[in-house]
Amino acid sequence: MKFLHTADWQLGMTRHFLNGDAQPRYSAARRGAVTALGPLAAEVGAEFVVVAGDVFEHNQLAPREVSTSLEAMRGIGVPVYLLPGNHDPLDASSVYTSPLFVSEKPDNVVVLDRPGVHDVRPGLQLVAAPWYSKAPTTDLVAGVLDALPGGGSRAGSAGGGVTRIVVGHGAVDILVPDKDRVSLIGLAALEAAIARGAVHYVALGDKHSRLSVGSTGRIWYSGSPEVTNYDDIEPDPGQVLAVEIDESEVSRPVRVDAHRVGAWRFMSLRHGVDNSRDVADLDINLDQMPDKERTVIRLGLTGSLTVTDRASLDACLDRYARLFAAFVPWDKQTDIAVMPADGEFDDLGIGGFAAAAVDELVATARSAGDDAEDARGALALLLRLAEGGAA
Amino acid sequence: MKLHRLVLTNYRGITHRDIEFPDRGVVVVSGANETGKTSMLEALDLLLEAKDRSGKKEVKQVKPTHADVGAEVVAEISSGRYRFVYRKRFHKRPETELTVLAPRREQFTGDEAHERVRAMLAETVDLDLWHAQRVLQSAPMSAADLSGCNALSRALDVVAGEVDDAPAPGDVDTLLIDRVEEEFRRYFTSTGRPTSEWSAATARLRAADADVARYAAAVAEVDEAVRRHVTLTFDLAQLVDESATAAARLTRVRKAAGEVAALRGELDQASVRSQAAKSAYTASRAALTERRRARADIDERAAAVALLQTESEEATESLDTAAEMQVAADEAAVQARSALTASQERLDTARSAVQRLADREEADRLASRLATIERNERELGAVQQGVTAITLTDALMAAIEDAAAAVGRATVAVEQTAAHVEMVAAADVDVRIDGDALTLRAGETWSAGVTSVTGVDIPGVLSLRVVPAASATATQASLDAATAALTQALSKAGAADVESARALDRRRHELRAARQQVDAILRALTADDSADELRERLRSLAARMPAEGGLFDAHTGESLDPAAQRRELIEATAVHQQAIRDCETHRKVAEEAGKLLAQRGLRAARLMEKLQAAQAELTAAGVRLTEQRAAATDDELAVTAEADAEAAAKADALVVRLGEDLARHQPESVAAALAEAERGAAAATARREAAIEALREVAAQLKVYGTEGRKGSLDAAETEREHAEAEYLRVQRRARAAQLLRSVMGRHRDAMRQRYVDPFRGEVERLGRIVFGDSFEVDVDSQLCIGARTLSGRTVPYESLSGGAKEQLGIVARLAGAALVAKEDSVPVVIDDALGFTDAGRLAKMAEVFDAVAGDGQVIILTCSPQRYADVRSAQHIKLFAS
Repeated sequence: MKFLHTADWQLGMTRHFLNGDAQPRYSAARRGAVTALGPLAAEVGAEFVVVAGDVFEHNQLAPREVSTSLEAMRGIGVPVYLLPGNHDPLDASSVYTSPLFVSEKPDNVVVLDRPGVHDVRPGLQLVAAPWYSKAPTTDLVAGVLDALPGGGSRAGSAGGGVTRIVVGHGAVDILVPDKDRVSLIGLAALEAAIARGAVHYVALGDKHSRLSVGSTGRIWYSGSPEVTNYDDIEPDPGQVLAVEIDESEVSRPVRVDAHRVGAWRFMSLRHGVDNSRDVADLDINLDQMPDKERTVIRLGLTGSLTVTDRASLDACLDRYARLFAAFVPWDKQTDIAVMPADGEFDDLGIGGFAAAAVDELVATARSAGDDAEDARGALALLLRLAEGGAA
Repeated sequence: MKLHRLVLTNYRGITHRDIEFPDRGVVVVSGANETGKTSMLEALDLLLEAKDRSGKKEVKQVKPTHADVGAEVVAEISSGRYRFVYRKRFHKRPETELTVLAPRREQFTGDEAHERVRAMLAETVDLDLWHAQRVLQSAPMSAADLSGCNALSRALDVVAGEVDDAPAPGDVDTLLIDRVEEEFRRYFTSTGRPTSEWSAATARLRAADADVARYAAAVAEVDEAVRRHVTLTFDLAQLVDESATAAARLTRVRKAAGEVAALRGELDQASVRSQAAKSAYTASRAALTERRRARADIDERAAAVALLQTESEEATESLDTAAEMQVAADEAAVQARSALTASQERLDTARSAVQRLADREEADRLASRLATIERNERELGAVQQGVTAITLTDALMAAIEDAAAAVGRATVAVEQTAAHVEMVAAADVDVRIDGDALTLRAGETWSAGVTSVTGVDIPGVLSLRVVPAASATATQASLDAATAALTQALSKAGAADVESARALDRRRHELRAARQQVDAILRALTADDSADELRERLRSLAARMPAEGGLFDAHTGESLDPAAQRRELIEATAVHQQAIRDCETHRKVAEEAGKLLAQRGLRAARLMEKLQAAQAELTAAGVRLTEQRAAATDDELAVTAEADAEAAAKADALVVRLGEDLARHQPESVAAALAEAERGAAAATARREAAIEALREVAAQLKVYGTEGRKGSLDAAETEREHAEAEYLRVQRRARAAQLLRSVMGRHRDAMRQRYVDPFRGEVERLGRIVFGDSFEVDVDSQLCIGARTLSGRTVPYESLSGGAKEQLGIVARLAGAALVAKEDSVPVVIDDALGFTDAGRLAKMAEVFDAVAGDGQVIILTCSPQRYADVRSAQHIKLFAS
């Protein structure tokens, strides 16, 4: 038996750093990742798809977002099981109970809208732990596990011929530092349930990066199908897991294959710039980046530059800011000291009072005063203007 | 720039004018007013600045006044390396033509020519200087603004550079300054307020902030609604529990209440039954009592009937007695009435007898009275007769008396007047006197008065005649007359003489007195009744009088004694009175007896009636009792009443028992508990309903929010804010850079300029001292404006200077500027009709100034008074005439 495990679609998500038309393209790509599940399911022979939470970015979606999302799900063809997560909990404002969703929901879409067992077909059950609020006060997954038959004492024969897949959402306790959070999913309970044969696979959502939890090989975060954050935070997104469970064996061995469906990249880069050569290197590096319009770059720069080099760096950055889907300064990782070099402004062909003014600005720029930054800007501007107003 | 030639054709009032200017030095162009001096300068400006088709006011104004043709301006100008002839025709058939003579010959027409000229001028001429170096009669006398003139700046830079020994600044600086300014103006207005890009970025950020706040609030509203929904849901669950508890309690209490109600029902039923038994008992007891009462009633009635019987008999008896009494009384009354009748008869008889007596006496009295009257009447007739016989009346008697008196008087008169004849008869003799025989006896005397002729005749003896004198005759006549009257009166009276008359009169008076006496007697007699009436009465009395019969007793035939008759009358009257009284008494007695009889009869009848009624009632009661007894005998009734009493007592006992049971259940507290439970349940239900309602409301709200895509809007707003902020920071950085650069550059430039000021001031002072003397100094600011003039240590602000001084200073400043600029940068200095305020001494000194600066540059002076500039030795003069 095969099915697709995915999660954290977060349809309707916006990334505010995206430039102009990049946001619509990014949104379209996210829907495209969902649409891509149809052919993938057909290819791997998946019976159904489980989405382990955060199908939608939030409950307050524009109607258009809901409709287009449902249309994409319809295109998948096989049954799609949606689990309400922390972004789209089954609270009073839930999108899942909205008239629009209810009226437009395709037949192949099933909302796991109550905790516990949902029969997919005889011998195959989903054990859902949906979220009812943004801040649950218990381990929801542990709650549904407790209710399963064959708890503890009857380990081994607990399954009773039924394959069970837990569908949950949230952080597993071993992955987070603040272990006291009540909503954390206890890994021990999960592993115990697996050990006693009550469940055979745990499809988790919440981490946007693909991740196997624990040592059983049966507990997985699928990650989001399209990247949502920079690669230093989300190292392995853009994939869907094709899970195969061999029902013919009592132990129900599991095989998990990752399939890439995402097309975007969110990258964090760091670069040292101390002279014009470094700037040129950076330029080359950026230039060689593929798929610029589907790439978001967060750039951290460190070093010390002359006003002239800084101007050329700015020109370079300006250019790539236009080319990439987003080109964001990584403020935390950026530290460039701009120092006017001696004789840097000697060749401008200016004299008299202009030269005196430049001297003053240079002095200010080299100082540590509040005006230093402005003085650097003024010098850069002077360079630009003196060179014939390239801007 | 140099102006070599200027040709105006059909320009304003000028038909044609062609002026060639010397290449250098001062040229004075003179002409009368309105010969078009100023027009020349204006024409040059139009040529250089306005297009041939221009509809500008300035162009329209110069239309020729004398012909319907286009104004035409031609100028030959050299500027830098260029020299060209430039022609334009305005208004009619506009045309532009440019012939560039140097550096190489070129031809242009139309806008191309125009643009070419603009380009050449921009390249080679400092147009600001060109405008600044004019003193126009139309412009106000401001200090020359030379600060923007690059040519001058360049010149000053050169001078300053020499002074400072610094590298000469070139065009680059100026260009840089312009660019800095341009950059600055992208973000700020000239006064330093944010504008366009910078203010737009600020506004965008502000708007984005506002949007974010707005959408965040909208999302917060949703979150709040969700939170409220959760709270309400929780509350509702509690309320449902509460309401269920209340309902359970209500059910419990209701059950208790049901038991109480059942018990109360039983009690009510028992009470009803007890009531019924009681009323049955009451009824049977009443029946028994009634039976007893009926029996007593019959007894009572029988007694009453007996009593009435007795009474009735007694009444009948007394009725009979009364009847007898009445019969006796009636008889007595009849007797009394007959006695009365008898006494009445007797009284009548007596009364008529007395009447007759009275009548007779009356008749006698009347007869005697009549006799008296008749006697007196007779007497009266006799007297009357006597009176009638006498004709004398009182008046007649008076006449007689008067006549007698008159006769007396006449006689006396006659006597006195008449001859008195006295004859004394001596022997008897017969004498006739006047015929009357008279016998006189001896001794007798006769005398007479003779009043008339009297014949005394003694027959035979003598006849004597006596004739009276005349008066005696008259007197005799009146005596005769009086005597005649007396005689007449006497005859009338029937008297012979006066004496008889007087006797007759006395007789008449006596008769009249007698008549009056008799008349009075008669009147007294007939005062009450006339004689006729008396006679009539007498006659009636006589008629009533019985023919003697009445006067006598019929039986005795004796004359009745009137007194006896009167006594009889009194007696009869008394007897009659007594009879009347008796009769009355008896009548009353009879009446009383009748009344008594009627009374008794009534009573007897009434008693009889009562008796009959009582008997009928008695009979009826007897019948009723008999009937009742037929239904139930007295014994039966007694037995029933006893049984009923027993049943009532039993029912009552049951009621008491049930009442106790009920009281044990404490119905009041149960009812209170029930009410309380019901209230509680209702309140719980109401609270639950309210919670449900609130929940529904929130859900509806959320449903609406759910369709609004609020989070999406917030995301969009946040994105916009992010971009706006980035933009803001970027622009801010740039703006601040530009601001800083500009301020630093400006500061340095001003500092530099301050150094320019010295050469400029030096030149102004050099030239100015020619005019104003050696103590002349000026203050020049960094804008190269003259701020104040100092003369002999006294400093006066430029604005406060006199018109002449301002003008002179203005020209000096411009000439100083012109003197400073490099040869290739020089432009003509044009002075239009200036120095009008300048005195002759100053004029001569100004002329020296002109001479002092007259070098390579052109100085064109337009004036209507060429003598003002006569002292300018180097000047060339061109005279204009009105054309």
